[in-house]
Amino acid sequence: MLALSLFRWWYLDGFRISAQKSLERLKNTYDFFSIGQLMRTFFSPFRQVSALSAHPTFFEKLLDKLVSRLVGAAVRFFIILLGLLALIFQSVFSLALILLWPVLPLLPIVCLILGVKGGF
Amino acid sequence: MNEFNPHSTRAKEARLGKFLGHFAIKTLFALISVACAVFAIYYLGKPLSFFLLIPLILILILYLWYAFHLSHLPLGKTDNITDLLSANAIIALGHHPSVEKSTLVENLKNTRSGHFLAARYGLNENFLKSLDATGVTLENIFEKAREVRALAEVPSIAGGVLLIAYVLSCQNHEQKLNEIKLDKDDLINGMVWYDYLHGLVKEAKTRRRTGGIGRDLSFGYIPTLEKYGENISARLSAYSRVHVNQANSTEAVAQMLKTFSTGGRQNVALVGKDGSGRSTIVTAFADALLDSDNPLVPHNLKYRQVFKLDAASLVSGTKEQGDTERLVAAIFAEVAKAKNIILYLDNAELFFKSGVGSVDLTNLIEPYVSNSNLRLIFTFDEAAFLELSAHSPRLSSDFNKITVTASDEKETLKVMQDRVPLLESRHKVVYSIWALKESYRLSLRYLQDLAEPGAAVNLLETAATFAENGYVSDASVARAVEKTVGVKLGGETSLDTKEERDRLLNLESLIHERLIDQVPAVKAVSDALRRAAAGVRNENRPIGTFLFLGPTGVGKTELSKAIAAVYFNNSDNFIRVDLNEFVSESDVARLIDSKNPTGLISSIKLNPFSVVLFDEIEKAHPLVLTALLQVLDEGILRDDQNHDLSFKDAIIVATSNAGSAEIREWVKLGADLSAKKEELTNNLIKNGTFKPEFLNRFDEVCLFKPLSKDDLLKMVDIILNSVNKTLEPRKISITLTDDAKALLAEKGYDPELGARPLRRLVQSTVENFVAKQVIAGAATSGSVLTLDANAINSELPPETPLTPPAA
Repeated sequence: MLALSLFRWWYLDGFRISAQKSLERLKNTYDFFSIGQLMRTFFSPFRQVSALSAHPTFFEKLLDKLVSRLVGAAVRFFIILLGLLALIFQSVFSLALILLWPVLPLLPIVCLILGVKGGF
Repeated sequence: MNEFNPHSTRAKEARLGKFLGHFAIKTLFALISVACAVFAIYYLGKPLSFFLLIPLILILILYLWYAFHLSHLPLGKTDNITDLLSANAIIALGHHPSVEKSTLVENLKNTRSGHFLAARYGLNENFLKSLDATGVTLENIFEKAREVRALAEVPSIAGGVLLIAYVLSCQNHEQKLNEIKLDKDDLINGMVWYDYLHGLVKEAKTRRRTGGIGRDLSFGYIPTLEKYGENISARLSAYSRVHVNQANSTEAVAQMLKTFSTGGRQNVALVGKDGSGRSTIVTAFADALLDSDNPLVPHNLKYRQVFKLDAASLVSGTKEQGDTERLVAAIFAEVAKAKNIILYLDNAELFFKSGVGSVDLTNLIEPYVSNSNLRLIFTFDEAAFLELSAHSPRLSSDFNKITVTASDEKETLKVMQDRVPLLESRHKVVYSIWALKESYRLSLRYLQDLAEPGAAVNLLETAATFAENGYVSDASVARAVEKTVGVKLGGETSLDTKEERDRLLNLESLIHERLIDQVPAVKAVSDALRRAAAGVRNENRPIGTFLFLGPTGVGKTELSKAIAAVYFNNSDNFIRVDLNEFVSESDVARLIDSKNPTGLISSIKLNPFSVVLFDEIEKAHPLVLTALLQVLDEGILRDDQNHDLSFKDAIIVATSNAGSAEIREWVKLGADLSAKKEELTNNLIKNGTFKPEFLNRFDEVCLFKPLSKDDLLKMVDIILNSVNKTLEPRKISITLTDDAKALLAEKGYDPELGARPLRRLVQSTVENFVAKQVIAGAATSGSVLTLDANAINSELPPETPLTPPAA
């Protein structure tokens, strides 16, 4: 009875929960690297840093902002890149888990057969 | 439907979940897994490694089943009782369909919610044993459990729900719950509370997304603000959320989100009394902004940080007002440049006035308030905001004002229930529901400086210091009020002990030990006090309000003192206000003066369980009497600081000589005074002595008759008793002959002052006599001295006019 319940749970609720958890982990990674936020503010000045004098000329202002924006974009680019790499690794891992999930209950039988047969 | 099936799959899953949750089983499986994995690697490629993988995979499957399903068994899909029970409840019910009641109760007590209800609601072994469970069946309990679940709106029928259902199924549950001052609703709320705390624990285990490592890259540096301000957002954890449990607070947070996400003046002024939850609203707002998944927060507000700026630290950090202005200007400039800061000026009135700990920055802040994009939050005290509105109407109209009102009892209890886990872990105590209820009741009455829920939460925290054996009860809260506010709550009359009940039943005889005659007045007062003690009174008025009318020296003041001694068990619980000192309009200010340590306000604050005697009320200015109307009607007097003082635990007595001549005349004619009460009060209204609205507010108007010769003789005995008590340490006692008593009664009576001079006369003559006897060696320890008329006469100065003692 319990084995049947486990079997039913594994292929219905268990599979759904496992997929949901993988998705949650991906969302957490996306949030941890602030990917959405960084992409939205990709060209914003880096930490609003400015080296302007009290009465800057138009050219000074333009240059100052340009430098700040470029520094910001570079920093953001690297963080986004790191984040994307983490997401890719995690996606592959999650996909493997999702694919492995339905197969996992069958593996003991496969192992038993392989063990009896003496390997591959 | 209500038949529990212990052999169902769900019941088996619950039991398996419990088994797998044991530490020993978990450890055993972990060890087997590690061993299998190690050997599988060691024998890699060999057939044995495949066999070793089998238990490893099976344990993994079992673990996943346990972690994702068995450890928090979801509800079943039908309405059958087995599908509605929580895993713990299923385990408590055991393996058999018809579990013994005693076994069930024993098992339910040991569930987590059972422990919760035992510790906080007193549903412990003794209480459960006292219930009459005759005729209660499992079917009844399940039926009741469905009802409790629906009322408490909890997802499953947990052990606690079953326990409550069991209690409510018992015949005598109402009586037994009444005995511990609880009812059905309290128990239902207990389950709501447990479910709420259970939810908080679950919530604390889930990680919240708060923006990540690159969140603040596009926002500027704020070194000055970081030095002088406090980052509220940084305090908020990714694993906990701020909950607001008041409807108006939730609305305030929503309104703040709306104000700051749309155009217009980017400021919010939260106006409310201290303790009303203004800071919690700001914290909840800051918390909402950090929540990536909160759909109510628009993008232009997401991850904005709320910084609190404190006027006191700014002022202390600078030498002159000019420096403070420059500092604040620098901070505002930083905030404007940073682009992600919402500045929160707490107790903002301090930024708009000069004085100690405050600085007037109106000119600097006003432009930001009226037309800036700088986002600002201000909190103001109600009175301070009114003052500011009067002082700078334009500035105040530029604020987007949100009024924060005090919470009601239900909301305050919710807030306290939310804080209890924090307070319990901080102080290592357990709070009972009575402590929470008492905190609300007493804080409302005695902590008028703070609004709810702040006052109740503060008191609850203070009460932790007065916990007994780590348990905070209503008694701990009462002690906290006594020790911290200085209020004496010992006067609270209860009917818990036989002694108390006897005292109340025999009020008349106890009072008559100190007071001669005036039987109707004593009876009227005693009846009113018994009604109050029995709870048959309006809780929102004083315990009793009495007007004593009669000539001088007939016992009006003495009865008031006797009430204090007998009802409150302490003659010190007596506050006297001579209204002949409040004869002009300006004296109202003196009456409500909160600074005078010996005044009415300070006295009632320190000792709310008192008899308050307003003497010679007819001499008071009409405005003074108007101020007292609210005391008589609602048990409240507003002091000069605009704080409401409670007189709801006091007995108010007003005395007056008005109508004395009529009373004397009626007594002379042998009329029944109690039948003349209405006539006298009508006369007093007609001749303008009192207004009808004033007289109508008294519970009882008591007429005091002049004392007869017999009364005076009895008084001599009472006074002699008190003299003997004074002499008790010297082991000397006095007796008086009949002629001595008659002489004292005659000499001690004055037509104008009544019996007032009698006490002084008896004391002086008798004590003088004793003093001489002691010095002469005629009286030693154990002596009984008898004084006759001659002895009294020898102590009386011839024809010396008797001066009345001070009233």
